[in-house]
Amino acid sequence: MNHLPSSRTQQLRLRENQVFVLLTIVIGVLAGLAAVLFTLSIDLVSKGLFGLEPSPERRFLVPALMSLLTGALLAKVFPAVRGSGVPQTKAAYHLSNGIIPARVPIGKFITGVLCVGSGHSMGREGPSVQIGAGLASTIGRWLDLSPARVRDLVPVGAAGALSAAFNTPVAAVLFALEEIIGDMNASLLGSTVVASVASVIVARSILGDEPLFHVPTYQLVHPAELAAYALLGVIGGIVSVLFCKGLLSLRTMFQRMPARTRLLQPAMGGLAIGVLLVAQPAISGVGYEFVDQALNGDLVFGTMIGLCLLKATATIVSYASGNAGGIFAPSLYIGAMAGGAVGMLVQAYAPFPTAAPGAYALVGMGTLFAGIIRAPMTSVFMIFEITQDYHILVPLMVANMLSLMISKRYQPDPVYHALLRQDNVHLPPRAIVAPEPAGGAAQ
Amino acid sequence: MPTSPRQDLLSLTQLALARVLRRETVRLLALIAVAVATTFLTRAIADSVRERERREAAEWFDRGSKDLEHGDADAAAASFRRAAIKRRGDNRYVLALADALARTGNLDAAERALVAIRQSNPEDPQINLALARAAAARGDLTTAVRYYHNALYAPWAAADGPRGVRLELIRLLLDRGDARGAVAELIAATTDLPGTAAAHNEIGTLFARAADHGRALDQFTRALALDAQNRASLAGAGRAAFALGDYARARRYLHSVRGDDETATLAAVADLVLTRDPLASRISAAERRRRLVANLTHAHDRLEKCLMAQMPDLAPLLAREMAGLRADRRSIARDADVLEAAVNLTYRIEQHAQARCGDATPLDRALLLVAQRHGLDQP
Repeated sequence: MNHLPSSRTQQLRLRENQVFVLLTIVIGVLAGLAAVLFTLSIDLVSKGLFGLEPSPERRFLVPALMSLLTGALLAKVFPAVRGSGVPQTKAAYHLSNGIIPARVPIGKFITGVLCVGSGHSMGREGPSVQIGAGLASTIGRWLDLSPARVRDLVPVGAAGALSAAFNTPVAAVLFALEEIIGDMNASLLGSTVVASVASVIVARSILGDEPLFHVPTYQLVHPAELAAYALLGVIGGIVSVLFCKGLLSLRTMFQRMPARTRLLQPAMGGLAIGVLLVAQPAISGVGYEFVDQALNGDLVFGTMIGLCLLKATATIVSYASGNAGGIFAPSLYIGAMAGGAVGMLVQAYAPFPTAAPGAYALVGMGTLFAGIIRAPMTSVFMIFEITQDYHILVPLMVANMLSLMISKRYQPDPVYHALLRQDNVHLPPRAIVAPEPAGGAAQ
Repeated sequence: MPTSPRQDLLSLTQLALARVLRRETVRLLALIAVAVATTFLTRAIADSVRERERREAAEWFDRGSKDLEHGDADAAAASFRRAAIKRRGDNRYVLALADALARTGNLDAAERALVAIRQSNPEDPQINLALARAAAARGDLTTAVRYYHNALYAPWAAADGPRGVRLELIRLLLDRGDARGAVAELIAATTDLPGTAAAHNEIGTLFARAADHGRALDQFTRALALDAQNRASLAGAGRAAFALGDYARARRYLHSVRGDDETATLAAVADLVLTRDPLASRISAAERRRRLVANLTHAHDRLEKCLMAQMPDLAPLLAREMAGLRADRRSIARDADVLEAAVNLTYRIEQHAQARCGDATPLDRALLLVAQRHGLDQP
């Protein structure tokens, strides 16, 4: 053991702290750039594969054929990058001292672009988190930082990437604390904030300040509406449970298939997605343009119900078959459709004045996010940052609380933890935040 | 193993170099350089993507325009929506989307799209105008007027933009029966009229629709001052003067216009009002009686003919009554004190005849107007 004089040790420690502070900014910028590049690449690949208005044949063939390629990559070259990336990042933080091999962010980038760009119903935020976290871990080790510091950089990179991917810096910080670290009182709050801010500044300087969704100003129209939003919370909780159980069940089925099929499993999923895209192209990829329509009340009841069901099905198939992509965006999509449908029913039958269905779509987004991802604080702040308006937050909190209660009651294991358990990865208890009902501080 | 001084120097240099390279500062600087380079690269890619999106948006817009030309508003709306999503900052696409949605009958969605972009462009005249039209289409006149006013006072690129908007608002108000509101807007419109006969004619016509014939006549007169032979001005001035009861002036204008059945009829009626008015000034007593007898005779004959045709069974009874009336008629004509009563009688006979027989001749109309002219049109 190297017994350095204490003053020398203090000097080294101070130097490391200084480097760490500067590093959080650099990592924030790099993670943000990575997330922006990831988004742009998905868009480029999607346009390249599908063109302006793809024919049904193309919609069927592209996911199936591209999944053959990504299946080979996932099986042979980048086996650690299947799925969302968030549970893997959590596992790296809690179980591997934050060590994420350099191949992981690279592999996640490539396979994520190909999977989401080829039409799989998956999100880009989860992969962005793993890319950002992987970059941070690699850089930390390259700079010969201490293992503790390397570990600390993982949520910093994750927050930076998510901040750029979602254009929601505050929600990104909360997500890093709530979901990656599992401790809302973490000492890394400052670092994650710095990285998140640096990231979003760079991202906005490149992509502009355009919000992710263009949402009218919604608010509680009548106090009795809280009952309607409570109903939405209940429905959101049920949908969350069904989605999680469906995902975990189908994933178990795929995992039980013979090992030799592992290379082809993503392609099997791609084939199914191809069939679904022929029937309904709107469930392809991230799908934020349709979420935008639901938030603005531009979709009819039948369409929203159909899209809700089909999107959930497609996401379950895409994810369970082992493709690389997240469930953030699908959660928001499913929630917006379910919420919008509930909103239309409430508007039609409620004996009191109600907000437009778009308000319910907005709350539905947050509700499903809270129920599936189990990040209620992130959900509330995400909706606030998207809308820049706090008037809808009270209904959102009410709906979140109920969704979370139902989700915890019938799906006790959060989905990320359940997914890791399916891979024989068991997080320590300290990795689990005890989520308070939305509106209370998490411990 | 002993080494040479040269080998010692080399290994020392390598050691120093490795030490330098390992220093965090150098690596951090390298990272910063990578970050800067990546920023520029990402920006270049983003610009390329944005340019592609702009082209795609334009392509979707063109498709939507073609769909509209072919009458497929639903397909047009879908195309315009994609264009609007691709290029959010371009209001043209949202305006086109709103227009297409309105054509499909989806007025709510059209209005929502416009309200959404108005939040970031509250003073855009085109957006306010589109919202005004959307509100008008769904029958909300108050909201439509509000948006029309927003559009009117918004900054327009073209100088005559507000004028067109005001005229559109005026026509809307007239269509919805708000003559008072229309007149207020028309008065405002007169403050910045171009100095052409056509412009004055247009305003004059609208004043006439709003039943403000005085102002209508004023506008037509101004038009005639610019173009004395303007047919529309002459016809408009004639009608306005006629409506105001200034039949002499109306006759003067209307006789200058040829070939139009309506103006010819009005001219004829104006003539008859002037030539058959027994209460006109500066005519002799004999002429007064002559006119009155002629009027009463005409009215009686018309009614008699009409009643006989409608009630043939009562013909003998009607013949006796009408003969009695004919005798009374002559005596009324001789009594100057009951002149006004006679004019009123003529009016009432003509009214009954019009109610039962319809198809009034110019003379019949003139006889009614004569009574109205002198306030003798009580039932």
